[in-house]
Amino acid sequence: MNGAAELRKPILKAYNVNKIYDNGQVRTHAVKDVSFTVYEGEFIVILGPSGSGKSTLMNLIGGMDAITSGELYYRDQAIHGFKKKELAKFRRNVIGFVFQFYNLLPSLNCIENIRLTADLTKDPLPVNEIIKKVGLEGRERHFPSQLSGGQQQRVALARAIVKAPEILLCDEPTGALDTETSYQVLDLLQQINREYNKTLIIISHDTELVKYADRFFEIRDGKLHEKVS
Amino acid sequence: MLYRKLLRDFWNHKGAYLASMILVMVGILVYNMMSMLHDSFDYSLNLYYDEYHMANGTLKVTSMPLSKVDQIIKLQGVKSAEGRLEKRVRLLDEEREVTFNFISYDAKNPDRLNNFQLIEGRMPDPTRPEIIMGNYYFNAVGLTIGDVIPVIINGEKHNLEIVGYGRSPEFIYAKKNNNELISDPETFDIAFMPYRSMSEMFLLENQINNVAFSLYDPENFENTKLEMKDLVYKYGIKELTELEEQVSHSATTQKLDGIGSMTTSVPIMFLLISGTIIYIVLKRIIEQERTQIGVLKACGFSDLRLLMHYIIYAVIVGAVGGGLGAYIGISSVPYLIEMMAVGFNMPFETAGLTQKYVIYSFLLSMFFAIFSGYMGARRCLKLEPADAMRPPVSKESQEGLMDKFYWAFEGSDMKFRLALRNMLRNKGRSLFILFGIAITAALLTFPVSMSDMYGKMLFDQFSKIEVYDMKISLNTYMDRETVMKLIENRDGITRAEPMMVLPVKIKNAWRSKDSSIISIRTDGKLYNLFDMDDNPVTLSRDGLTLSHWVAKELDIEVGDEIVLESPLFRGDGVRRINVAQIVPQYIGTNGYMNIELVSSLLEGKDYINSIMVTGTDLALKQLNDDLNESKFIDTFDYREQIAAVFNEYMAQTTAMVGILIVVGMLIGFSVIYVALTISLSERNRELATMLVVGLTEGEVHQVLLIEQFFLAVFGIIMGVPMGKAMLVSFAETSSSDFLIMPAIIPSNALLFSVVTTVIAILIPQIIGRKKIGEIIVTEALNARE
Repeated sequence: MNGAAELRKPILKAYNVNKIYDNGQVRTHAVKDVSFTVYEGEFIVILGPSGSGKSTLMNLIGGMDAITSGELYYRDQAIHGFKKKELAKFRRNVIGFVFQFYNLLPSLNCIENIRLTADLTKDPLPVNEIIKKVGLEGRERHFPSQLSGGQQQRVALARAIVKAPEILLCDEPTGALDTETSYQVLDLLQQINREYNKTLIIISHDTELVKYADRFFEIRDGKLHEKVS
Repeated sequence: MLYRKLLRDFWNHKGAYLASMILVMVGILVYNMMSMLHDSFDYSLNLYYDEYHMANGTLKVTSMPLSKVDQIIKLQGVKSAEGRLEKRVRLLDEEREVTFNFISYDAKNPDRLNNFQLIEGRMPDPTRPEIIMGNYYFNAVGLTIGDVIPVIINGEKHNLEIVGYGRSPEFIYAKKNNNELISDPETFDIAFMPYRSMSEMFLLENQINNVAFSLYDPENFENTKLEMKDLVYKYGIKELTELEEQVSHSATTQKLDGIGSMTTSVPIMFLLISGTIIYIVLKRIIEQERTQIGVLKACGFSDLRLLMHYIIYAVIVGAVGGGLGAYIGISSVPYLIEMMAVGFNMPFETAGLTQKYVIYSFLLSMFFAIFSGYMGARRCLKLEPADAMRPPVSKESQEGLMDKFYWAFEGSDMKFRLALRNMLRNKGRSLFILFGIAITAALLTFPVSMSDMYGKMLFDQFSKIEVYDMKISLNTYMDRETVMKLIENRDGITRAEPMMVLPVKIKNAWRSKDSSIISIRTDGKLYNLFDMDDNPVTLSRDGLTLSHWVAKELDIEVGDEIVLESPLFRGDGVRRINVAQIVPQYIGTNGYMNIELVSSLLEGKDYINSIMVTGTDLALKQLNDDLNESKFIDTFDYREQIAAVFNEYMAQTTAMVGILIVVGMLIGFSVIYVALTISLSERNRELATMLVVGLTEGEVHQVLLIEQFFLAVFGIIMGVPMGKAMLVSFAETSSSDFLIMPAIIPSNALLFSVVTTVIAILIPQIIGRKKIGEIIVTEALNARE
């Protein structure tokens, strides 16, 4: 474990978290007895191949899905006990999401997509500053379909950070991008992590990301193992 | 294998298809009901006229020798003629005032004109006091054949034996008085009697007062009329009318036209909405399944095969909806006839129409289904396999109308912007919702407007206009002073006022209309007139006051000089008079005139034929009893009883009002439900994104609500003039000379429309809200765009 991290306060804690999908015919144990602690301002990478349970784990951390058993805490609040409205509040105030396929609202332009989340929080970061930060100046009025993949991911990133979330969850943020653009996005993520002191959790199958991480984990068949870089 | 896909797709879009199916069903149902009712009415009427030799014209005179009929037959153009007696007869009954219209027939001539239909019993013996009673009265009071009824004829009591009951094409629509919309079958009907026995009983042997005649060419009526007038002018012509103007015929054909006007407009509205739903749903399925279409085409499926696959959805909707609609529509025709044909006394035939309408329904529903299915699915023809497997060009990629006025929305809430932009970008869907809501709002202005309309008519007529307790109608014209002296000084009679109903033809240039003029005292209190704003109108002393309906029909304005033609006018029978006032009139169509003015037009003859009376119940009963056997009395009419019958007749509109509410709300619900489910399905990923960035389910729903709220506001605003136009058209087609519908939308009708439209819009929102809660965020977001 990184020594610097130990001095920080834990922001996420998981104890024996399990997620089982059961549709009556097929029972899938997607996440098995996962335990971990994430500290404020850490850059965490979780690596794993397709079907390893990494997206499920991200959904659980992000409050998009409910755990089957175990305990999951954000600071001292039990996420596993949250009701629907509390989960929405948690996502709104604590988490910023970045997806592989961007998931921008197609009928809102670049600046509107960012403002949508800015409007949700009491103290958002200045929108124009964020636009500048992600390098989207001059493209504020462009709609998602008028932007390249890398630009769309920058909008997604801006949308995630504008509300000043404590944790940034990124699911394969470079999965749909070419190599050069991928590095640009990752550099940006690292910059955000450092400048804004945001906790960053990236889920990916790309081992190249390890070099950006403070710590990294590997997930296989639903089981999480911390690795030493 | 495609059939399995079809079944699954059907299940996945069950709500939209079901809504569409219901609309097809209602459209075909209404089409069948109204068309069959109309055709049955039309077919039965023609059959009835043919079978019972309906005459082309009627001449009514005070009295003339029977032998004159031979001269009438000799007139050029006259094919046949039959002299008859027509007399009002009152039943000697202490409990209720019953009047019959007795009409004689030539017992020796089996092919007589205006023959009657003997429903049950035997023909009367011309040597005995026997009659055929009208079926309405016979059934209403539960008579049996062989019953004897006491009547007053020429002031004497006669017992008449009922040997059968029947009806006549001449009196399909018959009523006791002009101020009645429909007569109570317990107090009025027609009765038929052989000429011989009737003329003997009325002491009018070899005399007639009514001639029914048929013409070789009914188009030449005017020429025959002139010749006939010359021939019989000295016998006091009361009426000389062709079939088109005959009271029963014109009321029946007006009713028929009213039904006819609804046979196509209403069903087409439903089928269009249903077709639009099919179109939208299929278009969306094609968009969603473009990759699948590409794969199927790559596998070798032909364009036609795929097109057929998608059109089958529409065909199933059309076949099931159309089949159910045809079945329910056709089976409910007999009940509808019973409801709509109240007061129209004729046999209704539906034979031969069923097969025709089953075929028509099939063709109509299939046409709409296949056409809308083709329009929705035709895009699959254009898709090349390679193109189909690439994502479509997003329509969100272009700037929309809103972006041109970006500054105007700069500070607005993002949910509002999101809703507005979606609304403007999906123009087809927005227009569909807009028109759906507009039609809903328009239809829902009807129920309260109609109830108010009837309520106002009823209230105005019997609590403001006609405020007497009893009206005594005389069967002849009598001297005013003599009659009034007899009545006004009686104990308990608080007020008595004379009335003279003058039969006239009102002419303005080439336009003319058979009508009557109600002449009353200018200072009278028992018959009042009001203007359009409900202010009392004092009857002009030297001019004619005209009903707005007659004025409109004859294109008359205040100040115009018009011509009145009446058999009671001496000399050329014509008088010219200025129109002084035009007043609204909803029951009956006539003119009003100061009784003194009428007296001067009649060259000083101070005639009246009715007396309006108010007084205590005891005094009125006494008056009725004392005059009951008078040979000059035609009828005693009690205002409350007329109002009660009118009210009862209006009850059938309650059913109509209920149907309109259901139909209106059904359209509103279906349109919003379909639009909402399509929206939810198309924007699943977008809504999931909103949820994941922290919007609550309620906030996400708000975005959809704002969109529909906007469209609802504009839809309702559009719906008001649409409702007004529909009401005007309904009022015009439903109005007749006896009942004029005012096309007024009162404010409470608007309120009702807004509230019910909003309810129709809000109900699907419950489903929408639930579906937002069911969005599986992780699935939606992980799907590739």
